[in-house]
Amino acid sequence: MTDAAQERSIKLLSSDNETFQVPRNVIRLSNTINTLLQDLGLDDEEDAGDAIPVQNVTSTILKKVIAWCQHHHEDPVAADDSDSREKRTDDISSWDVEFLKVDQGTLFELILAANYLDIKGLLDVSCKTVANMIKGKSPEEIRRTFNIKNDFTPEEEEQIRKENAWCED
Amino acid sequence: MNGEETPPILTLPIEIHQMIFDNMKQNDKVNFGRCSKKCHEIWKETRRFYEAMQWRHDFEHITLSLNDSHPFSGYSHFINFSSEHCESVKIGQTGAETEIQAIRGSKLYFEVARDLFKKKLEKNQNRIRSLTFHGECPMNFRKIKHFRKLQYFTAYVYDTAFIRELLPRTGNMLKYLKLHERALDSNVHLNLADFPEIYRVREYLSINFELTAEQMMNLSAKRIEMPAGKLKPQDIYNFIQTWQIGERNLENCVWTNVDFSLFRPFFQFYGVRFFFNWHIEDIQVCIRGIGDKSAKITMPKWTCMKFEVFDDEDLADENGA
Repeated sequence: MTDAAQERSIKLLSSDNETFQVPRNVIRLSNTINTLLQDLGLDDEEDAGDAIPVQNVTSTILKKVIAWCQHHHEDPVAADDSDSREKRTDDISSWDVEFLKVDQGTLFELILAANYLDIKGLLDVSCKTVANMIKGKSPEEIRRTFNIKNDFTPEEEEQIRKENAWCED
Repeated sequence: MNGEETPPILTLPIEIHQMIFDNMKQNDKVNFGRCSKKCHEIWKETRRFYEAMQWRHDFEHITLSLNDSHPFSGYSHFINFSSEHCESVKIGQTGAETEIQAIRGSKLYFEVARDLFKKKLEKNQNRIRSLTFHGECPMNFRKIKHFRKLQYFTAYVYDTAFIRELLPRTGNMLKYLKLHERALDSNVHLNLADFPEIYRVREYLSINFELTAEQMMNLSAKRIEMPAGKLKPQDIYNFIQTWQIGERNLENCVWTNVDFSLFRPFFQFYGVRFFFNWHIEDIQVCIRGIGDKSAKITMPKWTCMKFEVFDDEDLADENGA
């Protein structure tokens, strides 16, 4: 990407037809958008041109995604941790913790948007946030957290408990 | 939220659940899977998703079967370790067997998995009834001394020294022993002196080393499979006769690597009427006069023989026809 391309803006169109103008060097965090611009040869065009439709993302969520990218666009590129064992989940920055203090519906939509737009950092941090909501909790606590109804019969529940008993630490 | 509405977390696609689970310990995944039927399904799906990804690699397998208290016995039950999840244990809940998959040549992973596996195995060694190795033992099994309930043992590729340690401790209980393919230390010559406990295996014995006719006679297993390359036809004939006494059935005796040409003079000598069904599956050899019960040996490959024993009346009927 040239310097000129870095400085220009890109228009994104949400699923509910709201347009957002985003600096190119901010939206670079989205691999999906990067690929699209490169494949269509739009990266070097000075005019922002038509808005790129982001069909799967509503304006509310797209706004949040852009805000996250805005905050993180100067972050150093993280090393690829493809050998990820169980990852750390206590390394979420305080900014991200605050950013992700949203209702569950929004949080899951953010995950889906990050997945669709292929924004690795946002996807990682939002998945870690959900993992943290589960970790260390009993099934009953997890149900309460996510409003999940227990539809097992007592016998089924006991059966599953038995199945897992041997492998529990 | 309306009680009928699906909780948002349960609407996420499976790959997202997989990413979330990658950040969790095994116990947390188990607890999630225990929340509801849908959660259980998701948890199982993530395992399938994971397995599909992992099958790109070259696995070794170690199968560890738990005791029959498992409610779904008869299905497969997997625990998977992988280089990407070497600190976690993936568990599928569909059966009595537990399979641990290790990536060949991944030393770092291997060490971690060894520790985990050892921990699990030590914790459960008093419950384990059946143990199967596909590949090299992932840990120093010799330190595990108390397979008190082990009855079924299979090793496709095995560590001879480990077998020598294991069998004396379990030999009196083993019903089923299968040593296949090769020893890891394949330069070690295997013979019965290495494994005298095979005399005590009661139900099924399948070994890849040859026994003499005399050794064979003293086996107590009801079903045996072994190479027969050095056995003489007379030995086999004697063995067949011995086997007709007692509860063993000739249908359950299988010899591999049989040199069929050896048997021609044998059958002629005993006045055997034999014929070949050159069907791919078997060759039938009928032996006259061994006993009055029909008995046969069937081997599933085209080099196999089927022995059938007729009484005189059967033959007379057949001749008359």
